[in-house]
Amino acid sequence: MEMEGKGALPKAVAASAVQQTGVAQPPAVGLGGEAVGRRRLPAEALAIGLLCLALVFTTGWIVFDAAVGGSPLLPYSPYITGWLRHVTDQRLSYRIFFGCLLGFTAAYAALLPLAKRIPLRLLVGLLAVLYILCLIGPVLLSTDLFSYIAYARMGVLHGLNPYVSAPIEISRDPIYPYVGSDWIYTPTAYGPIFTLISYPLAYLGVVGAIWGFKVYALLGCVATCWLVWRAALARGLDGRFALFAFGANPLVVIYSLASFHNDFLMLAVMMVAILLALRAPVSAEGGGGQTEPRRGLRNEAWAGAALIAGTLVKATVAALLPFMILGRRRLGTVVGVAAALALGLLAAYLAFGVHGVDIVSALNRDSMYVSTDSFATEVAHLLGKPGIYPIDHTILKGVLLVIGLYLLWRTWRGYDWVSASGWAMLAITVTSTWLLAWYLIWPLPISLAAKDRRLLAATLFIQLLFVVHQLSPLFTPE
Amino acid sequence: MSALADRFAAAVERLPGPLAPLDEEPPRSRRRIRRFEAALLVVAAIGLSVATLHDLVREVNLGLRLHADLVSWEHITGARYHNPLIEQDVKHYTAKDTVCANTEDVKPQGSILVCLIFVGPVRHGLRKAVGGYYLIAAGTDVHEPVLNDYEFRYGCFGRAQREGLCGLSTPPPGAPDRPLVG
Repeated sequence: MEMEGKGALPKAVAASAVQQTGVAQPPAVGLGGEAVGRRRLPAEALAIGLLCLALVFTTGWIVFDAAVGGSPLLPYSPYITGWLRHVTDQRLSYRIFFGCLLGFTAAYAALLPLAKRIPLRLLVGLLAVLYILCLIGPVLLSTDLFSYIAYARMGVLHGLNPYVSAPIEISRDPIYPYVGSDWIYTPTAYGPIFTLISYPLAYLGVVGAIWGFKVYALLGCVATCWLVWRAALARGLDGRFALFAFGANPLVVIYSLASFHNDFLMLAVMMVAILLALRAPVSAEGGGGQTEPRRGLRNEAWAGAALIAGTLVKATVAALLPFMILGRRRLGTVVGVAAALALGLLAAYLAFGVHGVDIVSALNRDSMYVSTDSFATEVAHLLGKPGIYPIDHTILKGVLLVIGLYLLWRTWRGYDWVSASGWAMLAITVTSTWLLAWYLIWPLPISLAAKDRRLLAATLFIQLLFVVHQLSPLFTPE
Repeated sequence: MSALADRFAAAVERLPGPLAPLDEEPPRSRRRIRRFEAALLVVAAIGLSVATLHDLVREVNLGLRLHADLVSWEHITGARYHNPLIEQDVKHYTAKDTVCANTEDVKPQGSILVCLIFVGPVRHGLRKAVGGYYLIAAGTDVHEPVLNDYEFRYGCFGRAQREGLCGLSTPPPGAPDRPLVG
């Protein structure tokens, strides 16, 4: 659903759109293509209000029940939410969590078609309330945050290289009991930029560092929301829809933000790269030709550099690199990539030695893990196999390679490089044997800036399948 | 720098015929490719949906079976379970489960767990126990899993005895030694 006939907009309508957002954007359009008036029907406004309340209510229910502690959905962690425990005395059970997740997802799905008509202030207020609720609550679902702290403390307080040593080597450190059992023998898989920015938090003590990483995740999430909004506007798409679709997504709020993952930092830097590239005037983007060549060159170089920075936060961002280079076909991008790569790898080498620059071995190691939520495992079960075998890893890598090559060819022949990047990201998550909820948010911000709207539909569909697969505890006794 | 960028762009544009990069997809080939891609996406979506629903049903059935194991363990031992450890038959992928748990709320490390082997279908929310043993939980590290290994088991009965699962002939001093099931 690419924007067409933009030039034919009535002047008054276009002017009104500029006034509201500061950037030219299409007016709100109904499902039948008719322009929607400024007045909203009372029933529609009521529906929007109730659905927003449902999002807040379900998030609050999860957070306040979790704050009581003693839930199987909470990782073993320091008790930091004692001040919330008087809100309720009910512990977060599987049934409540998945019931709320289902309610949240249903409200999100119902609000998506109405998102363009949610008043901007209400939308921003809604996201602020959801995010504050997550921020004040305990760490849900994942021990990864404690691994971040362990790696930071290893580097800062114990003089160990987190790319060589594993948390087991600091077994007397107060963070050690909270690190997930799966990761105590595993050196960090995160990029050197993330490791370096995590180091200052090691000085805050365990509880201080938990709050520090919570703030990092929140800032990353807010930044990604803003960048998704700007990228959608730069593409002539509806910013409000993009903001809602990313910011209130169930996997973003309930899974990723409530467990405070560093994926948000990765996504924020990735979206900076995409936004800079979209704002560089290149004919393929429908920009202003070569009217501002110097600024365009600068933006291209910075876009390439930002993509490398994202890769040095979490290596997955590297998947976008060939699409940006092939899609842009501009020297500035290549120069930016090369310069940032040289600088980044030098800094990583100086800080962590040769292990700090060896991203490939960490990726190879992680690609051999298997999770029960991965689509590969589901397909294996469907085929009557008990799980994933080594040959399956090879087959899946082959499938991913074929998809990647096809997308590169399409990009070279004129297909939108942002869409191709998003498909590649989606293909990585679907073919991965180690799939976690926060990996499924990777393609979402890209899909909201993509010209090919099938990508958004596919991303949301895959997320829905993931949520459905999570629901088995609803059908079994507690 | 700008002139170099222009030369780079021009060199790329001069590539021959089908190798040449395009700024926009030609409408006719775009429609054809989109139809092909749409068909592939629909097939993939159907395949993944079937796999997801199949796995959901499988997990629900598995959850019901494991719940029945725990209820049966409590039914037989007359105690509430703590620190349960359920091992499934990952060698032959049968419905045989071994449930080990503490009868009191203690740290699993260093304690004695009661293990029962369950087989067969779930009937009235319970499963049939066909054997069992005591298990000494070795280790002191909170991350260390309780190892359900040959050398830590004693007091085998039923199928466990027939299969020779116990490596300890006598219980360690102070450990319970009365038969699990009379």
